[in-house]
Amino acid sequence: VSSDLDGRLREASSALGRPDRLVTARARERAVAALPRPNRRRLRLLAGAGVLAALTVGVAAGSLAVADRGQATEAAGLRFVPLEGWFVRQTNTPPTATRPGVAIAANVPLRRSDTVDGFPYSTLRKLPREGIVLVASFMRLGDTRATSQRLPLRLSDATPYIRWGGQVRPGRPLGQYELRALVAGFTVEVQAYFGTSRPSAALFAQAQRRLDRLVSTPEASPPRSPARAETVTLAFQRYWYPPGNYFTMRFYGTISSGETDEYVAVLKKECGASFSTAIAGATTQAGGAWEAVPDRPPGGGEFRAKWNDELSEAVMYRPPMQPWFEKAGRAEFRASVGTYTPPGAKPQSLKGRRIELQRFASGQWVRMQTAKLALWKTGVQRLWAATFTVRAKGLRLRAYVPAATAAPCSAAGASKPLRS
Amino acid sequence: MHRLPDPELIALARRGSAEAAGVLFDRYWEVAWRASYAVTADRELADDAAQDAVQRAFGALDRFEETRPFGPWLKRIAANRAIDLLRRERRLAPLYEHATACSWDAGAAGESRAVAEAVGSLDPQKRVVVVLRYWLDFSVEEIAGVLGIPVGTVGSRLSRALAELRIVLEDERVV
Repeated sequence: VSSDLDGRLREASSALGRPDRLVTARARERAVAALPRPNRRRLRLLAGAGVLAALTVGVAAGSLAVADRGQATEAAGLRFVPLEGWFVRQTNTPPTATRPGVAIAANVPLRRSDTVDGFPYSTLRKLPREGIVLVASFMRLGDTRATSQRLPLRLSDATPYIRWGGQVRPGRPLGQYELRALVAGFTVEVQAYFGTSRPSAALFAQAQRRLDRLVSTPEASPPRSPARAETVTLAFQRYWYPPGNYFTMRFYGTISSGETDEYVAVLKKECGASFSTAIAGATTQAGGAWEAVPDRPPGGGEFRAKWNDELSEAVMYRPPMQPWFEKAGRAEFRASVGTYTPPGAKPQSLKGRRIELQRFASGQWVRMQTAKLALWKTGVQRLWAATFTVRAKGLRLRAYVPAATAAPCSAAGASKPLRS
Repeated sequence: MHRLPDPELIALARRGSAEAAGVLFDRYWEVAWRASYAVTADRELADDAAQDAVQRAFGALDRFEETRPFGPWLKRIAANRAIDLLRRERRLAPLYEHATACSWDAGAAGESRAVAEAVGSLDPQKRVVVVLRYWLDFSVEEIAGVLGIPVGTVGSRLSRALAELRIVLEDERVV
């Protein structure tokens, strides 16, 4: 593509029109009305402090269970241990008299602005119908007169509760529940939020499964065994990220020492590249478990976890090839497929590799013709194409790239169907 | 107030100054609207997307890092919102149900208009990729991120779109 076309394209944006005056006036009103209220955050913190104060007073008055002294000396806090499909953010230091420990778990990615120092307001405002957020806060308190409870906590003990007297999302109300208990020497308050004001039994069951994995962590880490080999593991899960409308990946694993607060980096090597780059990182939690979500979808490649100088086994992800299938003449169809070469990687050549023309018959796709790919175009990516001739009308056709053609960087893939 | 740099206006707006917010709005509203219009190629959708974008951006000012430029941030929010609306309208559906050419309400004449119209004649999937790349300066990786498609697909759509544009514009002797 010539730089001339490039330049003309960039200039062409100036040809767009301008917004209507009425729309502009309306937008201005909406923008100014949306300004953050300066005192809102402060009020939120004050309200949070108020709840904790009330909680303390309540406990002193004997409204909660008695601390189990035996457990109180052993536990440093409560943590959510990793569970497939859940995202966790929690404090790494034991709670103090003035600062509670917090563990947040959600079945949707937690917004970046939602830290353990505050309330997961941004995540809750966008919580989808099937979304669940559990916020467990805990403080160590003195003697009380009630009996203790054991983990796991039961969500069936929770009561509907609107915290701070207001719905988080008045427009589309959340289901908000509260559970208070005394566990392992901690006064625990669990707020459960559901994306709908009437959560189904299935949603409750899902939340309970997460609550089952809220554990108390020991005061001191177990001593490291010098004889034990240091290892780190990595696995990944692809999932749909609704806010971004794309698939991304969550990486997780464990370190052999089981220690908390150890840093683990996720490295990615592009297919055909000779070096890796770090794409995400996380600190370990209870039992040495870690999980990390990169800022942007990582795509295909070879992934490893790095902990100190230890590297995990490599795990590959090959995205499916996405051939393009289009009519190129009266009875001709062109199948093409692109290869993108990331910086530092060796270009992938598909020259002479086979691509199939398939037709849909008797409920399945069957091979109709095979052709060899040849370089068609070069540009942002290289396009490889082959042409098929089909004279019969009304057939449902598609192009299919077999695994052998797609290897080593991609997996087999098919185009969208087209009728001849 | 009108001469204050963006970071100072943002600081004042965070403290609740409607006047500062108004100046900031006047400075960047057209940027947001044009980004939305470029993506949607539909004035009504662009009006909705741009209004939503400024509302969201101004509502999130307390989370905005002053060290970053405000304009590109707002432009991205507007483009993302426009893409969301297009999706909702199913205009980005893969089977091209709405593959009719759009007509820009172009404000200029001459070659730029011809190029803009050629971009507008592309099918929506290709048009959005071209607009994000050339008019809104998104990188190929960023386009892949916002559209939820592989980088390779962005590249192939871009290549095909540019090839089509080249043919059209050569016919019209623009390039």
